[in-house]
Amino acid sequence: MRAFHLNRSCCLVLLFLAVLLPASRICFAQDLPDLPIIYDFGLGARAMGMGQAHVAASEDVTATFYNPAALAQIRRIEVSTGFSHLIDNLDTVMFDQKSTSSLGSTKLSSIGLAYPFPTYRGSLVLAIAYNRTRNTDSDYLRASEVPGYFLGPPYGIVSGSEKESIFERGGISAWTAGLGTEISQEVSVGAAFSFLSGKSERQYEFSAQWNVEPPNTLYQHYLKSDDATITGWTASFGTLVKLGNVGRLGLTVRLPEYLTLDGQQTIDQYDQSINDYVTDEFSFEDKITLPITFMVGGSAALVPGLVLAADAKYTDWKQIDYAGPIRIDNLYAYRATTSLRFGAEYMFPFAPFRVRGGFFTEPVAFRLLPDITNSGSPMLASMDSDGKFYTAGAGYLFEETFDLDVAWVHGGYERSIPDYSEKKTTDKIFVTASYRF
Amino acid sequence: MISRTWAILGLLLLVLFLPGCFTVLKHPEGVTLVDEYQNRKSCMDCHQETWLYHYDPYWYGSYYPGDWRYYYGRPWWYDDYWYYTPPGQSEPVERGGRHMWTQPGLSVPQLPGGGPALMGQENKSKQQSSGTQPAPESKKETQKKEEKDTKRHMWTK
Repeated sequence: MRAFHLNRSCCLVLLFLAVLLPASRICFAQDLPDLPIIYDFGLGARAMGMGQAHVAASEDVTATFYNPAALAQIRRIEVSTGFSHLIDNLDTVMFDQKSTSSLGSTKLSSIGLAYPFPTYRGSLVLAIAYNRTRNTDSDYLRASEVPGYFLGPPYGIVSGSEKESIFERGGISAWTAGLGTEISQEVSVGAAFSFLSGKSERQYEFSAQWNVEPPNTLYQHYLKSDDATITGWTASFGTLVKLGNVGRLGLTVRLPEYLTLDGQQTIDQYDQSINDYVTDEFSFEDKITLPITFMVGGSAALVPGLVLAADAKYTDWKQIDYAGPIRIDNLYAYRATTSLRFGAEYMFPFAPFRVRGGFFTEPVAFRLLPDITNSGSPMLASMDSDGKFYTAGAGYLFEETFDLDVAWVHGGYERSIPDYSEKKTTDKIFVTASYRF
Repeated sequence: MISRTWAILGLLLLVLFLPGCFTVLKHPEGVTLVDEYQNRKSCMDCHQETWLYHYDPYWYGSYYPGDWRYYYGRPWWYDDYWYYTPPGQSEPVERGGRHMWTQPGLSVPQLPGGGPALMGQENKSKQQSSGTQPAPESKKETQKKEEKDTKRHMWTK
């Protein structure tokens, strides 16, 4: 039932007056959004099998993503495509009551073409690629009886229950053109420019009830629906240095990502004073700038058939600009993170078959959670397991031209605050097929 | 912020393309490729090491099993680089002689001093009675290939 359709300013005033206390529990989150678009989803079965340590080890069209200078390694015309499958499980425990949500999502991950120009010396390789770089698919639920809320005067500490859920589907893809060339016998450089596009649909729901004195019940039911298209651009630069024929060093600089969100937002909120819902609908255009990222890596082939690789990726997420820095009371909602990546690949001498293994960290950058029992004040979450992932993979080369690779990634994180904890487990499967003419 | 980014972008593109003197896309005009025995040599051979041009010496190739060398190491334009026959010309035809069902001619290895190697009498007689003629040497007549080269809406609660 939707009884009122008011303009936005009137609606906000009415909302404030009608649900003054309960609204305080969600104010925190309105100012401090937890952006799902800051984490790389991963790309390419070979790279993922090697723990994403591909800044120096990349030798295919995924170099448009990991290090465009590595495009110069490609010697044959390559056409490549890949798919990914995501399985997420999120367990939340609130006052000892556990809720579980899970999702499955299969997507086209990449399509790429690399064309090495014929050269008499050196290398010049042009590549175009579609890479699905970010994922916003999520499913989240927490629900529990709450023995003691602090609602503030005149209610004080009361008992109640609440339920919060998020259902979101979407992502960002990069349409990339990249160029890599050798500028000396041992040094390659490269650049890639990406047009970003995507969309995300998100449904947020929060409901709560509080038992207050005199014997009465306060209700809150809040629904927020966002539907946004995302556009933007970014660019990256890289260099690759060969250390003889046994090692490589790589450096990639990803420039900031400039994103524009054009969307529609609908908010429905139950007003207990009129026993009805108040609706607000409007369009929005938001600007987000994600900060610059640095990646360094090395790879080595010291033993015949065995390639080892290691990367480090650094981003200072405090520099996210989303209508200004995302912080409250000088406390940044995000932190700087360093992702470490390690991988190995072994090629068997008796068949064109290779196996891979790896490990990487992807620290959770958003470090705040709302205090459940204290009107949603932000708290620094304790990271019990901060984004650790194990990877495995294999590949087979058919007829010296068709390469089929698969990879599996397993990991997650755990974080907690008093009376609330989250454990997220992620499994990803990547399949990539490449043909070289 | 954006203008500064574009400046960095332009600067890096300059860095990318200005030192492009190492990568050579086009063969110098007026200089032809020459044959040396059965191997095609380019003008570059006269100046620097040719092995740098055709294969990447710093590729992990020496550590890869053979099946991967074609996939990773051999440039696609390299396939007909050496034995390209221009339009209007055909491969030379060897007439006469025996080509089908013949075995390679065997000869007695020579010691550094010039004399025949010490071999068993049996092998020696086998070689003499084989009657196989060595394949005639051929020299490919090929020519240079023409290269053608203020508010947050999303993700809030």
